[in-house]
Amino acid sequence: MLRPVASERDRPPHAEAAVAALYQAHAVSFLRLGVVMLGDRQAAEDVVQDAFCSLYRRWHQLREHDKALAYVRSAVLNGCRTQLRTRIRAERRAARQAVGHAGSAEEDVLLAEEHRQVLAALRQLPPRQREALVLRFYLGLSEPDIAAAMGISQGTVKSTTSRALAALGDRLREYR
Amino acid sequence: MNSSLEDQLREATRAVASAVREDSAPPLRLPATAFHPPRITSGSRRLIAPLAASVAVAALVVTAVAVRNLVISHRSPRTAESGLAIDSVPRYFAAVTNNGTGAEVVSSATGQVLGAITLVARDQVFIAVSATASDRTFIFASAKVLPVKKPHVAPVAPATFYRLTLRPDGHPGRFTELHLPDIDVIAPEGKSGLAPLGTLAVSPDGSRLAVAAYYQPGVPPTGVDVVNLRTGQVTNLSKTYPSRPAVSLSAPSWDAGNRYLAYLKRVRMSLPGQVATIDTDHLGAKTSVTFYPKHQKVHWSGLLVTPDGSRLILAGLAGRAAGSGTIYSDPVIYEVARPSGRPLLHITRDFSGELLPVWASANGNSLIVIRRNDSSPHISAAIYSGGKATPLPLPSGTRLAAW
Repeated sequence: MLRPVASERDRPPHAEAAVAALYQAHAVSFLRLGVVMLGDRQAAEDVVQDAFCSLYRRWHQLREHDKALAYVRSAVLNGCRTQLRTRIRAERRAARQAVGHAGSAEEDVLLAEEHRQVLAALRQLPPRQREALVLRFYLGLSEPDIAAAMGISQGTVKSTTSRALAALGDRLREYR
Repeated sequence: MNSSLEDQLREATRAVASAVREDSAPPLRLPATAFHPPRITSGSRRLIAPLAASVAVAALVVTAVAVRNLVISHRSPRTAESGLAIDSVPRYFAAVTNNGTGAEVVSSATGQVLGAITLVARDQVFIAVSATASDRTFIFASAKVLPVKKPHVAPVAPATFYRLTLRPDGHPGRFTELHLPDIDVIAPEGKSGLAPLGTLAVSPDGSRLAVAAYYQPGVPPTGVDVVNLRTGQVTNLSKTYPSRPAVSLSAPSWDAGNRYLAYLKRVRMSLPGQVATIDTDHLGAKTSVTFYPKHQKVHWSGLLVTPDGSRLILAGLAGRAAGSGTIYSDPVIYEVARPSGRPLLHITRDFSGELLPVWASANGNSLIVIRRNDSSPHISAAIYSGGKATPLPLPSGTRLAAW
């Protein structure tokens, strides 16, 4: 039955405090990552919320708690990937039904025209390529860190980044 | 070229990220209980295949028995007396007709009108009706039709409550007035005026009543009164929010145990609603907000808790789904256990008007929704089940209905 709260013994008290503290300190940076990846504030909030809930559920399974942030980052990236795939399918459906396009996060902030073009081009890349570029150039991660976050080899990171940059350049040339 | 492109990429991503202010993260909503999946050891892995085979065989046997029972029950003639399973649509429903001055009892299976009642009080119309889980008891509320007044002043009048019990064959039996203390509700203004849907929720056993009440013009606009129908005691839930006098409560819905009441709570009209619950056995106790629905541009107006307590069905006015650009209307089903508040399923789209989920099967896989658009005082109803929506026939001129 629907009950207001669960009993306190059902949850490990240190997990709740630890996850809440991590959220307090890092939620905004993950939210920004989500917004860069998705261009949609609400979707980014969903992804970050789910990532921290997932961390909370698995807290007792984490052998090294100092890797919690890496876990959340991977969960956020996975969530963004799922959102992008869902959105691609929805956009295909919307194109068939000819419905309007929703406003994105960029519309809420004044961006220079060249930034807008770069972001529009970035949004057209496949999710994996987009992810590699965001990790490399927004978060400034090293290749080994990107490989760990994306669950791929360093060689694949190099080739994906290179292909993504080339595709981005092509799209920008089309705009200009 | 590439180094310039890389710089542009860095600047552009930082610019869009800067739109997220430092203090703008929403509050963290952790699940009520941490989920601990069992660890699979190498020993237990060896057991998985035989266990899976046993489960498959057991499932086949259960399915075979279930199918046989279905066939047998299908062969036996169903009568009004035989009763449907708890998860089935209730056998009878009540429909408010005749410009709100009468009500008809209708068989859900055949659409046959089994009897009618008429409101004898002059200048009064039925403004709400709610059914208990027995499907043979209905609670009605009526209020006086008020003259048309100034705009922006809510028309408020005390409600009168009635209980209708059906005979075993579904025909109307006793129709009695419940003498309860005055509870002010939004009343219809003029002959064409309408009260909002979802004013009333009787508990499944018929012992308690929750009423979306109106206290005074201004603040707070609405609240929920809980009435113990055995003692007549009325408790105003807004008193559980003494530090927030502007809080607005609406759309009450009971859990199957007749104890917990869920309702929509809105602290400011500009903010989206939340779903809160209260233990009506301990009405003075602190309430707990359990659920923050996503898609916050939607203004929630209707709420229903599934009998098993696992899902919430929320109905609202049109809004825009994040990122999809789709204009939709609800109801939307949410899982109580899903902490992010993201919807499990959007059921209807592209309907602009007032919607109210009025009945759900145990887990919400089937539900009945009534809807009313702005151009007519009459409602329509549909049952959603197995991915299909089937219109439910209602008596002509139905203004309200309860299953």
